[in-house]
Amino acid sequence: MLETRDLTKVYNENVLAVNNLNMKVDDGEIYVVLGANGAGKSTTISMLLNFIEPTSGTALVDDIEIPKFPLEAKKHLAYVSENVELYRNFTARQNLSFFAKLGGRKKVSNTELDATLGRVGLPEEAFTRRVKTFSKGMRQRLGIAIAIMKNAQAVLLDEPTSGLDPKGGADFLNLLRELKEEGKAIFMSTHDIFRAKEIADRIGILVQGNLERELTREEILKENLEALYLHYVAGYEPEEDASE
Amino acid sequence: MIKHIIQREFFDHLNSLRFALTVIIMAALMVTNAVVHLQSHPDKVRSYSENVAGDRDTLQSRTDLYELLRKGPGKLYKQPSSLTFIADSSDAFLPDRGTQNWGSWSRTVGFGTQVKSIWSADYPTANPNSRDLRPKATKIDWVFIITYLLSFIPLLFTFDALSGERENGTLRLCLANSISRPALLTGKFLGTLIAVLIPFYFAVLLNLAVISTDTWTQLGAADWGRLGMILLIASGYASIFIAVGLMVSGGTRDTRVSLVVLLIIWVALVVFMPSTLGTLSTKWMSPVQTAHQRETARRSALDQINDDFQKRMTDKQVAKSQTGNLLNQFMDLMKTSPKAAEKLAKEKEAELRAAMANLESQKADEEELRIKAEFVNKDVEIRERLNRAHLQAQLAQVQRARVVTRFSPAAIVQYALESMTGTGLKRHLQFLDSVHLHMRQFRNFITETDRADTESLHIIGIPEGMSKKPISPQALPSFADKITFSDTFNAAIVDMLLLLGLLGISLLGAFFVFSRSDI
Repeated sequence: MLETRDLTKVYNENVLAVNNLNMKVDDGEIYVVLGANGAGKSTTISMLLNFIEPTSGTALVDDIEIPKFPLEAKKHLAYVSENVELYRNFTARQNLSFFAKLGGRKKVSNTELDATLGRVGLPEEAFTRRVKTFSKGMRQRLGIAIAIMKNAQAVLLDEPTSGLDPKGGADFLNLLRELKEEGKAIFMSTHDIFRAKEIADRIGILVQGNLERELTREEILKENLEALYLHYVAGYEPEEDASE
Repeated sequence: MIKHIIQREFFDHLNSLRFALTVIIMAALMVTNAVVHLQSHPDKVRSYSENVAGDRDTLQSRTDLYELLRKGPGKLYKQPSSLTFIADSSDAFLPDRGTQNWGSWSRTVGFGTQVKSIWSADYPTANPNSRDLRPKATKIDWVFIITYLLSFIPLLFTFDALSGERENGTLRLCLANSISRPALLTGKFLGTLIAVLIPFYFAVLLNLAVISTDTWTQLGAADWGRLGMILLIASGYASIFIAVGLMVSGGTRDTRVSLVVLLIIWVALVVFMPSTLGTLSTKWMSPVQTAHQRETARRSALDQINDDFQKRMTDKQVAKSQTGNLLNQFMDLMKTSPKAAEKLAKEKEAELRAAMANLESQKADEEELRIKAEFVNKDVEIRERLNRAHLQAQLAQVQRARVVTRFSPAAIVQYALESMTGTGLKRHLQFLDSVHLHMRQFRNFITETDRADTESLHIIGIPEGMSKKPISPQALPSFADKITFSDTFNAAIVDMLLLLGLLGISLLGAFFVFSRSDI
């Protein structure tokens, strides 16, 4: 569903942000990319959304080349960003309605809007409240409601759990599971190893633009992900087991 | 898709404090303008009507052809535009009539022959009341409101349009959908334009509602057409600043930076350039003649024809005199040896007096009349040529200063609005064209009327040479100054095209900057 082929981005002054990235996210799969700040996670998402042009290589969604046909490709992509403020003077319902229409929906009823807002766990009294009164967690829920409303086949999430409290984080993961069960291809970037381990079908570890390691669900469960992450990201060697 | 962006942008502005403040400020200024107009406009119209009627009555009271030629066609008043409330401020520096009385002369030439001047065109200057000691206050007309507010408010509405969305992350969220950057920018542009124009049009309606209570301001179909064009120009001007705001906002990540940059641009384009460029440009222009220089040039030119005329007349009269020899001898001595002439005058006083008396009693013959008429007409020609040259020099300076200030859209919109309103320099130039046309018609009328009289000698410029038949007042060509839609449109077209060009450039700039910026 979502695929990158030798995707490379070199910024001005020869800064290599992403280097020959090859990865694939299938329908009904959650792919989590882990990496430190500046590893190239956000650049990858920006290229998937055609916010920036790749230097070489390409990305595809539903076999549509994103750099060549960005508007067509984006019909199949939904996006949840790290710190979405949304339109502060608009209510949750107005925000959702606006983005649903922007996502290609012709008519959206209040019933459908309210159902989606309810699904992401927003209290009913918040539906008609201005977003400027919302907590970060509430805004994040609204962000995912926007992605759900678009009903795109692939969902891109850029560090969506940062700043969420444990309950908010858990609720968020449940929503992702639901989307996965609906058959969506989910691509999520995060620093959060624990949530990644809990939800991911596959994990890619990105270091300075290079995909250093890719783990399947079995490997994720088997390996010490924390140690592995620190090894790749910070160069720490895993400590030897004292029992050995 | 664009429709949703427009709606969101518009409703976002509608919910903002800046929108409410814009409505209040615009409405207050427009109502102030209307109230001031109600106070001053009736006096202007009344004064114009009285002046025109007075001018016409005076003209029609003259039934003698020579008298008409000597007194001229009147002052030829400029009709005040019915839309003066839109652009009034620069009219204070322009005269309200086409000609003025410069006075007249009467002189004795040769041996006691009287010659009188005839009318020549002289251009009045505006006389703002120099005894008015009240503090100088900015005139609140539409030009002021449009120039300042319709440039500032668009910047206030757009400084965070893209930079703010970039900060909030909503820009990424929007562009994650199948909407292109140009489409998003177009939506934002149109949404903001609607939000800016609604308070303006609301204020305009208030203004017109108040003005409609004034019986002295009657707007005809052409006036409404011009008003429509004025609103179009104002909308185009606001659009330029919306595009500039989007360009700066699209290129910055921080709303504070965007605001500061836009404020600097506004001060430079709207405040600094129109006021300073015009003044600076005059430094490199050759100065217009002073009143003293002008008078010296005129005197020199007139003295030349005067000497020539005196000589021709004296020669003619002397040659004609029965006592020509004695007079010739006396005149020659006057030139070569005044003392000898004095001696001759004492010796032959009686003969010389007799010769002079004889000369005076003689009727001037036709050739003499032609010499006099030629002199009078040359006097008119020189005066008018010098007056016209002085006026052209003054206008050329103003025109050059206007060309330089056209680097600012604020100056362009001011000129365009003045032209469409029927005030300002372009309107005055058109009025002067009408004045010149009327002057030609007036002189042609005199020539043709004289030509029709078989008893006349057809020597225009002196009473003896012209028709004595009384003139019918109805036959006189009348001067009717009119402001037509086509005249105002033609006067404004260059500035409108310039505004259109600026709008195109600023829109292209906004698209270019936004398409190359990071999201």
